[in-house]
Amino acid sequence: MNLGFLTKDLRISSRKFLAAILLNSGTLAWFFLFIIFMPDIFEAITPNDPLWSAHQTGEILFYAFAVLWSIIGSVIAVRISRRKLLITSILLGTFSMILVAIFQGTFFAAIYSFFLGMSLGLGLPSSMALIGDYTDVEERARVSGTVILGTFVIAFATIGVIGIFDLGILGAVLLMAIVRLTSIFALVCDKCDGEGQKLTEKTRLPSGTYREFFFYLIPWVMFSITSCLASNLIPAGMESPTMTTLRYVFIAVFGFMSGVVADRFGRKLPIIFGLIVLASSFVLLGFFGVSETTVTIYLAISGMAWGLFFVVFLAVPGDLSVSGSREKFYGIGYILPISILFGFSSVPVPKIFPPGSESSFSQILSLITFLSIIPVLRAKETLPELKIRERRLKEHIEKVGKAVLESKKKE
Amino acid sequence: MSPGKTLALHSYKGGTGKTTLISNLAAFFAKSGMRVCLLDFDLYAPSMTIYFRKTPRLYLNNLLSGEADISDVLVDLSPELGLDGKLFLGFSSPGKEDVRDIEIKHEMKWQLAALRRFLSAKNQLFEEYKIDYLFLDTSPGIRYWSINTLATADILLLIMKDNDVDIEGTKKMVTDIYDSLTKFGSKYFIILNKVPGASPINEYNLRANEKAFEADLEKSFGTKIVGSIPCFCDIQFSRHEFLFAVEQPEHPFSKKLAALAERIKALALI
Repeated sequence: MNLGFLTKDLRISSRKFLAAILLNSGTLAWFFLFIIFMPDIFEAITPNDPLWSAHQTGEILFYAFAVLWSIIGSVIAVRISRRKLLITSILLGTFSMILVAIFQGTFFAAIYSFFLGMSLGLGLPSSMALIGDYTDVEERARVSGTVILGTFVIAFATIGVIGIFDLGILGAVLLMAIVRLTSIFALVCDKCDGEGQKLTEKTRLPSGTYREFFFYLIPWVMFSITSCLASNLIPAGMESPTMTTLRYVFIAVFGFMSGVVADRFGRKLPIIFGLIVLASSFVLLGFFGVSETTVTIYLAISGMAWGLFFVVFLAVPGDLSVSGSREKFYGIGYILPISILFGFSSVPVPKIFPPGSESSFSQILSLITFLSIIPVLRAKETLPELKIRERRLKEHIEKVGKAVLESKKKE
Repeated sequence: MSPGKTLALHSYKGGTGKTTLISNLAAFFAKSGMRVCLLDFDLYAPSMTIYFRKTPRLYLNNLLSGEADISDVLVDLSPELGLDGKLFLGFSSPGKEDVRDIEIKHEMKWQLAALRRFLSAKNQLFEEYKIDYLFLDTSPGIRYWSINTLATADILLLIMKDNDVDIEGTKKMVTDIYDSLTKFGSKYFIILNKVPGASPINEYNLRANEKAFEADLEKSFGTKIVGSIPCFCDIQFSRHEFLFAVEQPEHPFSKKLAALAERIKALALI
């Protein structure tokens, strides 16, 4: 397969590029599909248990196990082969999904939450660490952008197939098992073993690295919390399938674009831009109130911000870590915030604000989001200035060379 | 159309003797009857006005800004030097404001416009002035105008001294820019300058391992060394060295330069 159009100007080989995309997009697509179908799945397998069907117990357990296993996964990653870890997590997810279609009941629902959470948590830090290991700093965000674009392409295609063939929940589950299995092809085309696996000494990072990581983590976590809380603002039933689709398209497109921007101008610019647009969308909701128009605009803008964050924060842990420590950075720096984002949205908490106070609540969210910019301003840019200058120079040479060739042709 | 060739002399850092070498080469070619033009594109640190002790009315800076034509900028030095051929010179302005102006003008639009003006002037030099050899002196290192100048040349001559700092720096520069420039049809070669081990008394007493060293260098750079000019103290520390190749043809430096000129002529024919 010729991937030249995607890998142009990238130093990563096509084989490694394909492996990184398949591994991460396959896993993330399965995760997003599971988020969408999870309520229906747990309702289908525990139909007579109100604790499971009405209180999202399965979802909460899944996220809890995902976080727990991501911590375990990032700790054990340096001790065991990454390849074995990835195969285990992929097969665990695939077989669990198949078993969902066969065995139902409360006991099995608990087992599935455990194993599916384990499949995600155990494999995702190592899958993401592969991006860090395989890419140079000046191409990492573009590869991350392609991963997010690939994720949504796979997810949309799967949803399309489910819808077109009217597969129902059983068919959807089996199709999701296939999506989970797609990541195994990454291991067919590449060894997927990190350099970190060969390290015998404990990897040491400069102390400043953790401080920088913390500065980047704050806005990411704040973004997750505010986005999660903002879901309380939208009345049930107001978010139409078209609006949801629009949001996902924005995540995919702006995610991909932010990868290009982050590799050209640095990571801080898209983060600050994302926080500003998200905060502005809260201001919009607060100022004009919750209506179909404002909610549509909010979903589109927040989709843009989500895309930016999903991509940039897939690159930043890789920028700050070195082989052998990447899994920990991705475990804390990516899986924890997205688990907050999606997990807390699933928790059936009572409305934390009285009816009619949406405007004030939006303004508070807006303020929190704006304040999240401060740590980003304090953080050091992870894309070195030297790399930015080198790229500018290369572009300059290309343009000058073309001008000279044009002049020669005229002669 | 004249079959003239454009040669740019470049180095990783200053002090390699680039200006002395290019001025002498240009004068040597002109002395042997060629029509030569030497343009000082070391816009960030011009030195030709001092070397040739000239103060022209208009500079290359004016040409790049579109305020002057190439014919306004050129100074014909051949009558003054009594050369058989022609030697036209184009100086860049040593004025503080002009240098600062070039330093800050990084916008691509301006750079491309200025480059197109120069390319047009270059065509004029070959067509109207019937120039055989156009020599371009460049700014050392990787800077916008050194890249612009190098991109317009057919042959790039990379001057370096025989020391680790220069060699390693040049290697990096080759990876960073020369490999890209060759895509546009340029060829690059190496000239070793100020090679130690020679003196005016014993100019050929080069180090025993010099040949092996040069062979290694050619292998690691992937190109040929077209000249190896020894270090001559009387030139290096002269208060005002001025066109030794023309004024002292029997000097060992002039002989070395003549050999280099022959190799350059051969390269120009390839």
